[in-house]
Amino acid sequence: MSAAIQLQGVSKSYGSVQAVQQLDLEIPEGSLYGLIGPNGAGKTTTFGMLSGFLRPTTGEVRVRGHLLTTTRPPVGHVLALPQDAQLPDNKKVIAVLVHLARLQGMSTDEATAKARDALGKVGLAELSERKVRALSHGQRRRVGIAQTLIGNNEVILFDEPTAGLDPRTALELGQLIKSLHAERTIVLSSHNLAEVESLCTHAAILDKGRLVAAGTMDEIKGTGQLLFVNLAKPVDDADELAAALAAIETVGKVTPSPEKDRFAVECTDAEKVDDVTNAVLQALITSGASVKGVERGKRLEERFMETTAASK
Amino acid sequence: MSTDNAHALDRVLAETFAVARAEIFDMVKSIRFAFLVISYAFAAGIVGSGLLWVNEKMEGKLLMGAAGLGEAERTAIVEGLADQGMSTYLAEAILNGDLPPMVFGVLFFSTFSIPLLMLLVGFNRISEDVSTRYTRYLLQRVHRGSYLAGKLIGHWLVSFVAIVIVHIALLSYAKINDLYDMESTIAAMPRIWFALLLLVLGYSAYTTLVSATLNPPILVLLLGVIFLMGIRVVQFFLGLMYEPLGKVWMGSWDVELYALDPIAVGIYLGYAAVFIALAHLVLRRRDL
Repeated sequence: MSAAIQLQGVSKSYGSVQAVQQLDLEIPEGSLYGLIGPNGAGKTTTFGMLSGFLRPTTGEVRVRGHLLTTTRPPVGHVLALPQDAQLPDNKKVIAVLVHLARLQGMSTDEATAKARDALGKVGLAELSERKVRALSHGQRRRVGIAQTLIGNNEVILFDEPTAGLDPRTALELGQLIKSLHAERTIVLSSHNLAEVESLCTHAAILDKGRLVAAGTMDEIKGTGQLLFVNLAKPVDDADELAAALAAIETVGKVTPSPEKDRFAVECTDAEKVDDVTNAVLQALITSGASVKGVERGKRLEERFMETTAASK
Repeated sequence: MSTDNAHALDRVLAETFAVARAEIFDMVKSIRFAFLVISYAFAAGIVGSGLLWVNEKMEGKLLMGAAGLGEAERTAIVEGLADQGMSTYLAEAILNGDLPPMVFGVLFFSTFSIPLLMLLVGFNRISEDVSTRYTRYLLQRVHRGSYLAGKLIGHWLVSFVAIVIVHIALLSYAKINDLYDMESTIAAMPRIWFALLLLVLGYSAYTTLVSATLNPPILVLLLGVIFLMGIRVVQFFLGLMYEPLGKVWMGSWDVELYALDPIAVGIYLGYAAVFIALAHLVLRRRDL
């Protein structure tokens, strides 16, 4: 899979503050890439550099092989939903989108059609004649998303697309983003780890301006090598049970939780994880344990906590 | 490679046109544009009425100009004015009717308002986009240079057209009411408008530079006005110390510009070029 976006040795500093430090990252073509990290991790700064809004202090950013410089911004390659950019309050929603579409070289008719289509996709068709100032925060956010849907840009960047939205709207927008992914490379940053986990094919975790983990979602979560078996109630002989599970072929370390109601099972061969799952379940049921569920890999939240804690 | 360059140029021109078009529509619809037209019309109208009143008191001699002078007298006057430090072009333009007294008088007394009014109309055109970060939506779609050029062209053309509209309205009023003999005035207007096109370019470029450099918009207005007024005072004192320093700012060359003195034309074009280049440099290097 070739890289849609490449960052090589990218750093960005504001005076003495290093917002991003020596970031090397490849975002594969066609991926839905989640960029996560705690506040101040450098996500928005990284977004700004990918979009051409911010100039890296050092390093190179390439979008589809196109080296971004001050004279060669990613115009025509990238459309982004910036986190805190405002739309003109005194204009109608449709006028704003038509203007943005016209800047992309469309005729007025084409721009109007594309703008209406984009508004329909984000569920704002009926508000097209309303002034921006009359929209709620969530509706403005959706207009912001709509402007990324105008044109055929290969890469779309969403910086906190669902921040401040109600759960239903956030879910709908999540589905929309997922549907867009069929045709484009999408990068999204979010504090909502469940959202990133459910939507993204890949992820990178940033902390204090540094990359602490990156890869496919399975790699990040260890899906191919780690199983979690949740029990309906704790077992008394958790250590013995763990030893029995560890004896199964291609099972490595088995760790019971302190509450004795959950086992972490490491699989030494990712290819055989299905067989291991079956064997582990069979062993537990035979021993009389009551299995509530099985999870592949760690939850993204756990990985996030581990990786960001490790860098403290 | 040349095809790529041609394609890139087409793209930049299309972007510039799209930005300028939107800018022109936005400015024309704004209250501040109406304010520019009304304020300038008021200033020019007051000055024109005053000149007509003085002309009446002088039994028509004020606007008669040099009509009755012979060639030798004209030459002597031009040389005399040149000795006083007036540009030969300007002296000749006044004497041969290219710059009729009425036009000269109105422009001389009303032009001071043009830079301030232009700054008032255009101070926020870039700085507001930057401070609200609306530029982040715009500059995904157009190059920074195209954005800047479109903003400049929009401000330039709208300001120029506003001034021409005022002139046409005042001239029409004077013609309808037969206020004075307007033949030489009407004949001089195309040259005057050409000169004003350059004057307005200079101040559009100045407004674009301060708007692209400073933030928030109110600071642009404040510092923009302070500089415009302060530079006159500073250069007055500089001129006392060393005379040529009294003419370093383009604003000192307005009158000569109306006579299309090549030095004044060059100074206005030079200032405009420097302002545009600086604005481009600032915007290109700036995090937005």
